[in-house]
Amino acid sequence: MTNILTVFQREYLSRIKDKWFWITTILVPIGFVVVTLLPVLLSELGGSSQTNLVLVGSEEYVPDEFLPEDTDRITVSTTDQSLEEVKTELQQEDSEITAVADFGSINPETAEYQIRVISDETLSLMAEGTIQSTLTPLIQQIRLQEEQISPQQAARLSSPITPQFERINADDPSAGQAYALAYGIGIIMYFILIFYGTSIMRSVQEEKKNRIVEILLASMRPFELLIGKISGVVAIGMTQVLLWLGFVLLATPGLLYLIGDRAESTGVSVEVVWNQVQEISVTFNLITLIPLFLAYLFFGILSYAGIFSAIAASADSDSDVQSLSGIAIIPIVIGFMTALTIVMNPETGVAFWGSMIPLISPLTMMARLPFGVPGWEIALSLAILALTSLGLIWLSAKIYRVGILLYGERLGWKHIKAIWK
Amino acid sequence: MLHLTDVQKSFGTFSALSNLSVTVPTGSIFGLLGPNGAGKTTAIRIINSIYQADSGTVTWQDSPVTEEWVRKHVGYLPEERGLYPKMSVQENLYFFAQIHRQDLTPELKQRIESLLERFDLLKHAKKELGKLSKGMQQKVQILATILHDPELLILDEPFTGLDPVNTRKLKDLIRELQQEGKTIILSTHRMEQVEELCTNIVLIHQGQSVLQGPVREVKTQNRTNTFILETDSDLTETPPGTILEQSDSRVKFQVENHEHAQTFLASILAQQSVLEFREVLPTLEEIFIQQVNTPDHD
Repeated sequence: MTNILTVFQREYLSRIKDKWFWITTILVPIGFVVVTLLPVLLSELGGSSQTNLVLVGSEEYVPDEFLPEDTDRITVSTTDQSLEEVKTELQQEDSEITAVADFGSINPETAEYQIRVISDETLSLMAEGTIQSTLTPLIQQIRLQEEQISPQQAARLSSPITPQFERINADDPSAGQAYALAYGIGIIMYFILIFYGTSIMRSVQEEKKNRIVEILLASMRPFELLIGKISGVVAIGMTQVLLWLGFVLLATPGLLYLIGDRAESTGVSVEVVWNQVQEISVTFNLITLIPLFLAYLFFGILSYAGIFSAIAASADSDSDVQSLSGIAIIPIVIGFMTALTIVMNPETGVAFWGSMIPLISPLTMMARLPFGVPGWEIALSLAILALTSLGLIWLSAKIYRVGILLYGERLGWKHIKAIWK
Repeated sequence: MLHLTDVQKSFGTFSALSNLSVTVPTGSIFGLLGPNGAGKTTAIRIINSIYQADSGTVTWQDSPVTEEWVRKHVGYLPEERGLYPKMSVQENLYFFAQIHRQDLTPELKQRIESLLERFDLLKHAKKELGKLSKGMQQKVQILATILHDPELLILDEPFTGLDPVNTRKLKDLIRELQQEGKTIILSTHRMEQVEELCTNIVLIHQGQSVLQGPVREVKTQNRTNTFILETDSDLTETPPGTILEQSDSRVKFQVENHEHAQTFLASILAQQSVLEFREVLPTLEEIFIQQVNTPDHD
């Protein structure tokens, strides 16, 4: 026990003192926030480019009252000039025209209106989208007029049906909220399992390569060394996740402030976001969800730490380690892919069985939890995962004991007997 | 005394040790010799409880060697060195003290500090180990081996990577530890160091003990009856047996038995003044090569 504690302390303290631990601890949540806010920021930054669309040959089709109002994205105007004249103007360097819509190209006889839009340079995707979303209602108006249908009639005929999804238990989350949460947790779990699995693999590999393990094994049993190492890595992983959770709690008021600062431009008020946060906390019962997340994370890291350390102990070269670790990552990838399927449809047999298979359950059960899972299923899934992780550690210790002192040869069939001794 | 009795160890069909029996006297500097692949590392790992012997016993002062005893009382310096490069020198030493069941008491810290000072490492104590030179790292490794004051030290090629000054310091330290009553097993291929330091040796070949005992005894057992005689003037008589080297007043010769040499010496003494007469015992290197190349041992 003393040895386990000594190795645990070394693993934990050396990692927590490592600057890279703190860099990733700080940068990952910042990166997460940046990635989340990036689309909003980019759209704000990109909002200044305006498209000037000129309609040529539109007198026959477009009365002035049909012309859309200018927005910060597009201005639409008509001209008496011919297409060729406008094209010449378009090619001039100081031209303010972005594109020309040639109404002369419309063939009224076809069911689908096709209209040529000409520009001097290749238009951005955003400009193309803006032009399309401007021309579509404009031409719809023209066709409605041709069919002598009033805009009110048209609106009634074409109004979309919006189903109001309601749960008998009003506290249950909406599918959208559950999807977002399940997806987010799945991604976090995926990266943590891979990161800490490969982290312990590198650590074992390094000790084997620099032969320090020879001295360590003269001072303790392989099982003690492995358990000490794995528990150190699990503890550091849990520490990092708890720091991230703390960061989220601390950062929330700051984010609310930022949102409040932009309330006018975004139309999102602090109250709305705060209510959302409270609603999510209550709806998803975060008081239960967070401990379950930590429990699955704990046994997940434990399982993969066992697998990856056995790989590092039994391999003889870096390339062996690379190949074998590629195989070990497969269950994590399968788990993530299954989780993606589950968030789309959490009530299937795949969801149930996926959350019972130990190596993928940390990912799959996390994808199910936001949708609501019976307590016995969670208990059974956790019990299977916990027992499997302990079994994997036991097996890894046996492989580790034989493999760690093998130099110049790979762990092969001839060593299997020694492993079971 | 450390006794290995009829120790066997196989890996699959390969027999690494076959009925190896070795006695390491308490307080000796014991040379563990043998060609590459002879089974030295396997023997060391069995003494260290890293490997379990398939059969045979390992005892210390007539009690079986246990893992717990090894943890507390054995210091092991393997041939391939390894410490944690990202940790400081001091952190490495504290860690190794702890895994040898030592509490980090002020006395232990003081001992570590004085060892660091002795090997000119005190000013580097807080530095990351990986940033020191290989020689310095080697010194730290040696300190990690002895800081828990072990009764039995196993040093596998301890002088590798050390400059002459630090080689001398380590030799002095080894002798000092021996004087304190420690038992030291020294595994090396450097025969001149064995000659200089070791009191006893064992030569292992193909997993078996080929010869062992006090160095002087081993040399005597392998004597070749070669003598050197030097007189103050030209030799007046031809020595018996085979002349190996000869100058006017000095001759190196080999005889079938000692009596022939003694008779020759008596005859010369009656005629001339003798400046030197001695038996030339074989060097350990010569014995090593001769034993390893003997067909019976192949």
